[in-house]
Parts: sequence; structure tokens; C-alpha cells
Amino acid sequence: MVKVALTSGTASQFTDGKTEVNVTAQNVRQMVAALEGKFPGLGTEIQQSMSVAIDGVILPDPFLETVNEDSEIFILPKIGGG
Amino acid sequence: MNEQAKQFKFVGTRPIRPDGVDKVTGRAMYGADLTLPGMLEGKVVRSPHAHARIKSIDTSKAEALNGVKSVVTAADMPEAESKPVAAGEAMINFRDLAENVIARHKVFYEGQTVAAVAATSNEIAERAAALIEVEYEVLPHVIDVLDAMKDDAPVLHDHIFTGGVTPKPEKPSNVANRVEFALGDIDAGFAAADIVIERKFTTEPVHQAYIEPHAVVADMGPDGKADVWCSSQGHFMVRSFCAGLLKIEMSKIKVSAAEIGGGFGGKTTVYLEPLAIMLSRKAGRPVRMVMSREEIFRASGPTSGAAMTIKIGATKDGRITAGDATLCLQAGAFPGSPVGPAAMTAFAPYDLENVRVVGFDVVSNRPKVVAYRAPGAPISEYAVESVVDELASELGLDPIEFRAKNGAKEGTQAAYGVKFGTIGMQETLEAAKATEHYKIPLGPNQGRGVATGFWFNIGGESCAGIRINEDGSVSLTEGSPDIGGSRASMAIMAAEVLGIDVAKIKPSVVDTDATGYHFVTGGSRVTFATGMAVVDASKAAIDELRARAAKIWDVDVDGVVWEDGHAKPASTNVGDFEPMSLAEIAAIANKTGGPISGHADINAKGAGPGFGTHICDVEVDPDTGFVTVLRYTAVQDVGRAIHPSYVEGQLQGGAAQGIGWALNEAYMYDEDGKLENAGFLDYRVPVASDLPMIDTILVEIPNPTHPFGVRGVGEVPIIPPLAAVNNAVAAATGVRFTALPLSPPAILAGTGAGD
Amino acid sequence: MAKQHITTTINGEEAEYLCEAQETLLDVLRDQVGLTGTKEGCSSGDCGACSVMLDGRLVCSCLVLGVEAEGKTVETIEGMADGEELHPLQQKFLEEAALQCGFCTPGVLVAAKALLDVNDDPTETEVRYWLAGNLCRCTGYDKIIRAVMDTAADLRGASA
Repeated sequence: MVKVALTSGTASQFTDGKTEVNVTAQNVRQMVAALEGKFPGLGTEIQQSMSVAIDGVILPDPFLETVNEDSEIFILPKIGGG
Repeated sequence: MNEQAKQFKFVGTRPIRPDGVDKVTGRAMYGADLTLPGMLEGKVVRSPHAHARIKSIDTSKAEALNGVKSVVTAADMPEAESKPVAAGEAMINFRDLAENVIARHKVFYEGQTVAAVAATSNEIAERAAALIEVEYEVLPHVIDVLDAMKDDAPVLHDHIFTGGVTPKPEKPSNVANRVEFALGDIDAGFAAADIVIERKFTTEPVHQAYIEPHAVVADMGPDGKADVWCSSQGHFMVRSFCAGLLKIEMSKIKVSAAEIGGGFGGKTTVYLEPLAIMLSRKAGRPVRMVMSREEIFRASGPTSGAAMTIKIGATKDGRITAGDATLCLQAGAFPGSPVGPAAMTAFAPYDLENVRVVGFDVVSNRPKVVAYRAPGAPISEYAVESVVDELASELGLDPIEFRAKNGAKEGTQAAYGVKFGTIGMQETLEAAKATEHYKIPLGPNQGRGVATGFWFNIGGESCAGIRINEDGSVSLTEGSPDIGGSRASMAIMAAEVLGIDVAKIKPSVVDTDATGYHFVTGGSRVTFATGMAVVDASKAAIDELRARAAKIWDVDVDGVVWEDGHAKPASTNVGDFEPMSLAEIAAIANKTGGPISGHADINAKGAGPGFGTHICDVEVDPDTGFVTVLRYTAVQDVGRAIHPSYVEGQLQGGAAQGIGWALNEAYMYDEDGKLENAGFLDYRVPVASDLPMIDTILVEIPNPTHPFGVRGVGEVPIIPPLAAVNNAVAAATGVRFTALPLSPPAILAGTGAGD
Repeated sequence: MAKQHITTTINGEEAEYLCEAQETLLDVLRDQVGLTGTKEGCSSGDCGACSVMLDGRLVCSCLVLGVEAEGKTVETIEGMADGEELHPLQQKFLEEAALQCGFCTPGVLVAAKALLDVNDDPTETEVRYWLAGNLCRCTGYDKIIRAVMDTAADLRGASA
């Protein structure tokens, strides 16, 4: 099981307000698929327009990174810059 | 090998930049400097209305004009599909991008492109543009962000329903999206506070105001292949957007990066490029298009203006207990303001248990905003840093100590969720406090302000190639347009790794056919991410050089090490060989397997967050309200300064832009929704006589994920100036201002001296 | 409309061109003479990127007509270096990193040289006001001002 933290905004849209959800996954790809299964639309939203931060490192294109129960995982908007 | 632990030979030195001589002699080629045989000049027809339906477009008179070779309207362009794409700062919809390039059914702001024409001279093109007849049905418009949010506001887009709220709204709205970030319990936090300050702030849209106008030369042949030369922050972005908008395969579009005359985020999208390709395709000749300064103001950039409410509580002993912010940001005509990063950065410099930030992305009849240096952060952090300063003042605490007491450290969970790794927020505060500047006594009508700033910085895709030439010189290729001296940094990093003189390395920003995809030059990412690719490519070249030496010595490659630009036996057990220099190995490369090179194609992760603290002294003329900046110091954690002069330059330039934002710059509209100050005379960016010297202090807390410790540096320095100036003006006048710019009339209105 | 034939001196060499009456000197330099070092930033005399010398006077070439150069001398950035030898201002701008994107640099250099030609010991304030018509959005002016003052000091030292 991995713990995934969501912003309160994302949570109110997809997870009935829960800002922390648990899914079974060994990498980000599985995690996103599991989130989509549990909360329809959330996985698509993550793939299209969000970043995943794992242990403090923000990943704009997460996919293959491994995750485990000790990982600190946050879903947040994509960041660009000027 | 831990590069960070070593003493450096080139990193941290200040060699003359490789592109320097071309730039001081006028030889450097920018966007508008290319002329091709048979080249036509292109002009754009723009909407005179803030909001209108396009009833018809008649191009026949223009097409009949002698010398006109092609005309383009939206009818010539493929219909774009609705899908999100990353455009510099935020995600935007591809269909919106298409409409921003050329309007299809409606115009959403004054200056939006409606048609384009190419002719044999500028003069003919201008006459032809004037002959294109567009019939409009003018619609009610809305300019201000709060007005646009009202229930009875004219709605720009029937298909926009506020996102981020449940249940999904039934009526379309100008509020495109709502974001929210929260930690802890703000009600409990405010209940625990001894003092709570709540204020409403506004900021005006400001333009990136690069001095070089947008410019492109496009040449599409009958074989359907297009060559594009343009000034942009990402020629791969140009290729990708043009390919998508025009439905052309990417391999058929080659984009070359002209020298770029400033961007600051404003050149992270396309305006003219797809039009130039279409005009060229229809005319069968190359087409050049250059924006006028007026067009730049009316139709490109700017960044958002905002209306914000900030509430912060603290205990008597100076501990912040809660922060609450509501941010309403103008997106311009299409969704995609930087409200997300604005919300995430608002309280990021602080270690807070209870935070809530709610943000709204709001469309109105203004040009679509595009990235501007740390998009969103200067806006939200200006408001928060102004309230933080007022709290410190009310509590009788030193503003730097108050910030240090509440400041983020390694392990702090930012309001947007992520825990910080190694960061330098506290170190910048300490360095600022220790400056002479902070101790200089002030005179009458003078005030000192302090503010901090935070920006994420990003990584992303970059590639690099190192080719070892036969004579031992090195050609370095990469694809990040160089705005502020990044080729110098790339050469320095390659020299450091290869162990050869930096002058032996010639770095080039090559075209889209010659290297792999690069994300835009933006997000303060180039020295970090492209630098990482350069280091990896250099190491790959070294591995090949070692392998060649091993062949020459007839030993195993593991027995060869690379030190100071030479292959050496790893130990006496390997054998007694004279070290071979890079040049010696290169000279006989043909005999050992052919040319030697190293390449790296990466998606860089682990950009280190950046923090800065600025100190600003001002004097406010009590009679005129004019603010003079007396002294300015910018302190920043830069991770590692590869070429310190250009790092200092980033701090100084960012500070100057922030000062302009604070004091002078604003978009002004008339009642019809037309921009009134579309020129440098009326939109006043800081000039040399407006500013003092800008002192810099480079704090170096290396980013552990970069081989040399690099953090992005370009964006942080535009964040603190807004509040530093505002806080200095408050100290000088005793009035807490809550609106930018701090123009003389605004100051006089606030101090009552103008009555 | 018939084009006008203009004879002038550009960077020390006699030059001829044909231009329309309404064409600016900036357009003529860039499009007809092929000297693209002079830059166009605004076409309204506000940014200084097109600064050139006309008969020894600093002007914005976007505010001068091409026909006005008849019989006069024009000096542009391309004429500042002596072959491979850079002018001391050019050299100092490189050494002190007084440019970032480099787009304003030609105009700044032409303007700065005009200052040093009339004032070999300008104060910081004098340099700032002299260059107030040359916008730079990248540098915050700090390194530009220092480079101009340091060049002036070097030139005074060399002639002392």
C-alpha cells in the first residue's frame, strides 16, 4: 500500500474530500492506474495536468518511478516557469 | 565521483562568454536580422474591439493589390482539437492556443489576430492589411478580474464551466478554475493568534517587455518542408506548437534558434510562427514577420493582474499560527493564469502548520497571459510578504528575525504539500542581516523594506553532445536558447569535467534537426538541466577516451582513469604508461575506432528550490509622492554559481524588473476595453537613471542532485522586490499601501498629501 | 513614388542607397545597407536600441529619415571595433558581463562611446542620465554603468 496525498482542491473534486488515499502500487504508473480505478477521472487528471512529488522531488513526467509504503507522495499541479 | 567535493578549476570563474564578441560588434543574428532571397514581409490584421463576433472577413481587395502574395485567415487553418498542453507556465488548451494565434468566430481582446498578409514590401503588406474588411458584431466586454467574476458579467466562452468545484456548475462562467491548498486547521490557528492582520491587495498586469520584438522568418517549399528561424525561448516548443496547429509532421519542420533578445517567459509560446509558415506555404516564398512594439503590448504577454485577500495570525512572541489567502488572477482571454503556482508559493517561505490558499483562474477581455519570470509567485508573495512585514512591525520585531523564526528549513512541509530538502532560506536571511546595507542609518522620508521570495525551479528534457575534434578542441551542442549567457556556463561545466581549458570548447545552440527535444528555456532550468546533460555527455566522452587509451596501451578499460584532461593508468599494476592528453587521443582517433563523442538525452529531475531575501531603501518625496530607490541588495541561495557574473546579472535584472512592477508598470484600459499605454513612453520600464547599483550576495547551498550543486537562479530575484519596495515605502510614509504600482498619485492619495 | 538616391558616409566609407521618402535611417541601414547590428525595439525613439551617430550626434535612427543622411556621416556599431581590435568599451562590456541577451548592447555601446567622447570622467549619475534613453530589460543596468565608468577610468589612465 502506498499513501498518496492530494491537495484539498483535488480532493474535493475526486475523492470526496479525502486528502490522503491508499492504493496498491509499486510504481507511479500502477499508482495512477489504481487511483483512476478507485476515483474515476483522477488518474486522467494526473496524467494530463499534474505533477507527482516523491520524497520532496517534483516530477513533471512521472511514470516508472518506484514507490513504496515509506514514500511521501503528493499530487500537485504542473509547474513551468518563465 | 562526487563533483561537489572537489576544488574547481573553471566552475566559479568568469571567462568571456563565447557569444560575446558577436554581441558587442553587432554581428549576432536575432529574429529580425535574417534576410532570404525572395523574402516577403508579413503583417497582421488585429481586432479593434475588446469583444466581438466576427461576422465576415473579405480579403478580396487585399489579394487584388499588386505585390500581395498570400493572405491567411482562420479558414486556412486546421480546426484544433481541445486538449491540454504545457505552455511555459500553466497548462493551456490547444484549441485556445489556436484561437490566440488567429481568431475563428470571436475576438476576445483588442489586438487579437484576425488575418495575416504577405507582400513584397512592408509598405504593401501594411496597405493590404488595411484593405482586409472584417465585419464585427461588438459584444459587451469585461476587463477587471473582480468584475469578470460577477454573476452578471459578460461571459467570454460558453464552454467554460468552473473547474475544481463540485458539483459541476450548470452555467458557463469566466471563472475557469478553482484551486485550493490547505494544511492543518486555520480556524484553530487563528484562534491561537494574539494578532491577526487581514488586507486586500491588487496588482496590475505587467509586460515582460523584452527589448527584441517577436520575429520569425519561415520558408516552406512545395515539398511541404518548412524551415523556421525565430527568436523564442524554445525552438522545440515552436516546432511542437506549429506542427500541432498546422497538422504537419514534426520532422518536416526545422526550427533554428536565432539569438534571443530577452524573453522572461514571454517567448514560451507562439504568435507569429504558424502564420508565417502558412503565408509562406501559400505564397511559395519565404516570409518574415516582426511585431511592432505596439503589437507586443496589445497582443503578447503580459502576466496577470490580481485581486487578493491575505489574512495572517501570529502570537506575541512572533510565531505565525495561521495563514489564509484568496487569490483571483486574470488569465486574459483564455484560461491559464499562473494561479496554481501563485497559490503554491504564497506561503512557501514559511514553516506553517495551518494554511489555506484558494485561487481562481479568471478570463476577461485582455490578451492571454503568458509566463513571466516565476509566474504567479511575485503576485502572491508580494501580498503575503507585505502582511508578514506589517505583523513584524506591529509586534515590534525585526523583520528579518521574524522571518527567520518562521522560515522554512530542511524538512519543512510547504503549504503545497512537499517537504523541502536542502534549502537556503535561513542562510539568505542571515546574510541579509549581516550586510552593511542593513545597518546604514536612514534620513527623513526614507524607509527600509525587506522581503523574501521562493520559487520551485524545474528540470525537464535536455540533450547535449560533446564532439572531440581531431585537434583536441571540443564542439558542444545543445538546444536551449541562450538568453543570459548559458553557453558560457555549458562550456565551463564541460571544461571542468573534461579537464581541458574552457577556451577549447565551443558551445552551440543547434536546430531542431540536430539535437533532441528540449523543454523551453524557462523555469530557471537551463544551467541545471541542460548543464546536467552537458556533464553526462562529457562523462560519456571521457568513457570513450578512456576506452581508446586502453586500446592504445592494450590494457583493460578499468585500468584507465581520467584526470586533468589526461588518460592515466589507474595504478602502477596496470603498467608504466605516459599519460595521454585528450588532444593526443583525439589525434589518432581514426586508428582506434573513429570519431570520439559523448551524448546525453535526459529528463532532469531534482531541481533545487530557490530562496532570496532583498533589502530596499527608498526615499518618498512628500510633496510629489515620487519614490526614489536609494539602495538595493539582493541575496539569494544560488546553489553553485557556475559563472558568477551572469548569476549576479540574473539577480540584478530580476530586481530591476520587480522594482518596475512595484513602482511604474501597469496596463491601462479605456472604457471600450482598449489599451491606452501600448508603448515604452507610457508603459515605463525602469531606465538607468531610475535605479541605484544593485548589490548582490550569492549564498551557495549546493543542490545535492546536481553534479556541481546548481540551483536555478533566474526567477527568484523578481519575487522579493514588490514587497521589499512596498515595505520600504510603508516605513518611509507610515502608510501600508495595498495596490501596485506605487505611482506618485497613488502615494499622495495614500498619505493624504495630495488633498 | 520615385526612390531618392542618397550618398553618405557610413563607418568611414562612402555609401549610396536608394530609399523611399518615408523610410527611416534604421530601415535603410538594416534592409538596404545590410547593417543589422543596429536594432529595432520600438520605432518610436523610446528604447535606444537603434542608436547611431549622425554627423557626430547621437540619434535614434528610427526617428531619422534615410534621406536625411545625404552628405552626412553615419557611425554604427559595426564601425566601433578596428578590425579585430575591439573598442575599449566593447572589451570592458565582455570582461564585466555587462550584457545578457545582448539586444540593447549595440545601442548602449554607441551611446556610451558618445558620452566618453565628450566627457572622459563621468559620474555615476551622469552615466545613468546619459544612458536613460537606452532601455535594458536584462541587467538592471548595474554592470553596464560600471563597465562604462571603468572604461573611462582606463582611458584616462592610458592618456595620463
